[in-house]
Amino acid sequence: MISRRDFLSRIASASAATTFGLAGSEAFAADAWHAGYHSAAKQNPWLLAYRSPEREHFQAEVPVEGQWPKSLNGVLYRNGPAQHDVGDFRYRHWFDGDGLVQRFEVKDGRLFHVGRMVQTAKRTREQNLGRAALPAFGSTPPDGVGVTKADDLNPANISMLWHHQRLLALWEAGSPHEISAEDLTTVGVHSFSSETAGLPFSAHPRVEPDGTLWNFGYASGSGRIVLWHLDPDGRVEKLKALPVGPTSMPHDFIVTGRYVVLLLAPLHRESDRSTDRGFLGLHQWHPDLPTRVLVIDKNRFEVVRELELPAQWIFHFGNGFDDGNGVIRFDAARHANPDVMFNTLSDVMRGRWTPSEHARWYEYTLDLNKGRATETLALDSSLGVEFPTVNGSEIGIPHQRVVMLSGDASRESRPGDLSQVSCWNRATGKLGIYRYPDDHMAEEHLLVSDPSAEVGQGGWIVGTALDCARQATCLSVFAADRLADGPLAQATLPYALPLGLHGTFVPKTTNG
Amino acid sequence: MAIRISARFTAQAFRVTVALGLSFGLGSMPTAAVAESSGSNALSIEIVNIEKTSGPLRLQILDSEAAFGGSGGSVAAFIVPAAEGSVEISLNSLPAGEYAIRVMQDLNGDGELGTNAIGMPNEPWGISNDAVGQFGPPSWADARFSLPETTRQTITLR
Ligand SMILES: [Fe+2]
Repeated sequence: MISRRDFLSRIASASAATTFGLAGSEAFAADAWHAGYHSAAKQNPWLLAYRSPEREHFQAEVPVEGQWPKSLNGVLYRNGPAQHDVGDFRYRHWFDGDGLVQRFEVKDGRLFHVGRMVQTAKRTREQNLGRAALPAFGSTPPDGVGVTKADDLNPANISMLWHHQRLLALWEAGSPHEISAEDLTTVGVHSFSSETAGLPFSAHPRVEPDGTLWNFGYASGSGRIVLWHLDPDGRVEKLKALPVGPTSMPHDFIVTGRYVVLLLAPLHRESDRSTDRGFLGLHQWHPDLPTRVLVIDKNRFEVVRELELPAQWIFHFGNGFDDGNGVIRFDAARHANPDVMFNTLSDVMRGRWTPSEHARWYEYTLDLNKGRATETLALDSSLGVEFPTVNGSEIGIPHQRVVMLSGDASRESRPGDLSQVSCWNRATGKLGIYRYPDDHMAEEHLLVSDPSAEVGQGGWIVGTALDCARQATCLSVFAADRLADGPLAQATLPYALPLGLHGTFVPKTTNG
Repeated sequence: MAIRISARFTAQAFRVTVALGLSFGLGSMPTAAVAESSGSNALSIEIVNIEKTSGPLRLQILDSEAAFGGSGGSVAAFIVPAAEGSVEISLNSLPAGEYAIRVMQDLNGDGELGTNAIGMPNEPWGISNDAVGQFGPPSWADARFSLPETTRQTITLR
């Protein structure tokens, strides 16, 4: 058994060996992706976004510049894949590495930041072996060990959920991991009940204003999708394993007043045997087949209607709602195909940029009476978008605003394209945009309510960005309705963190 | 604990799911008996990592990919009491050939491998060669062994 210190020093020495051409030794000879990334990263500042953290634990306190809003109190928690190199093995996909969870809190004009790797069973097992050994979303390390359940390979690296006074780090094909809200140490795998232990719980649950939680999880090999309904105290109200045939790998879904809506893209799992591309490599894209739209009754978890849309790939939806008379509306960042997932977000791991088509902002209508699904481009096609978020108080009801990252989609995609924060006001038709300075790569930004403002107005946008020139991650806050004016306040950490995925803002109650 | 097997008995259908929820039927098992006097090869089977003694172990010995995949019966199937830690079973009359073994512990006494909502086992199970899958079930190629070359199989319950 190898100690954690030895394991970490191996990670460090792996890149050093490449740098100094010591690749003659057996351990460092093999991985062209590892060598490719570390050599390209010296020439291309943007590749900082995919660098493994140098340590398990980050902690810093830095001054905030500008005026942090007095009534904006709370904690931003974030998560994302971070351990992109394990020993001399480099993951083949951005989505593979072990999760790094973070907390950002501003108090008295100072930002307090903590970051910590999630100590999953997968991470512990690989640390004990001293190498990458478990298959991942987009990679299959050589000499892999066997897997008997999804949580064996759970890296807890996609998103954060605060629910029933618990902080959970989410993956999408296995269990949540409970994390200490204060110091971010890993408490362990969280089960909502003994009967539901180990069932897949996606990284994009939808929580209604009263705390009722809806989620899904794909169990692709079994052709089933699990549907979850939790009460505000985190108890399982109901659960169903819905047989759906080819399950695709849905990443997000829609909840309305009456329905749960799942879109199943024609990305079919067609093998059980791993290629060198991990779980992703089991799948085949079928552009000639439709995207299946399953409309599910929220109270019974029964499919009440199945509709079709053209083949398309959606990671993220904005929000959905229905009119009570069988008409459902929702919006989403629509990719024409999953090329970005298969190519771009894989090749960055070996230090290459492979362009792919941007996603565009679409609005959808499902008319259950007429049995028709329609889609419309809702924002200019020159605007590429991703990471849409809406205010938590508007889940399942008509929403006013969507905050998302955007970039220029009128030309071939480039690294760091999504460096704009946008606020799309559906009610007024106004699109506010703030563009981060050059060399910045933006991460997800969240819309946070101002308790003193009218619903759908005012409030703030909070998010992080990686400044590749200064090699530092910064936190910014904007007035949601005056985004173009730039940040109200900003704080820059003394270190760069790898580009992450999703977070959640947990308001601090004034009496708490 | 060594148990010598010679009795007839019935083993029921037995399903295992591994990795990302892939369920695979291991077939319904007709009444089967240990083949007697049809061969002369000895095989010791040790089942290890037995954490509970409250349910019996159900073993099946299969001699083809089809049988392993769930179509067709077993060469032999038997039920033995569990003992804490490990149980050893000795067979001595198997014909030469290729085999695989699967074992489950029937904690709730329903004769089947218990599974959760997506078909993942929630009772202990194991396969010869300690075969496990990566994104799917272990295959015949992972689980098979030959007699008389192999004389011993140690199977870990999971
Ligand atoms: Fe996501």
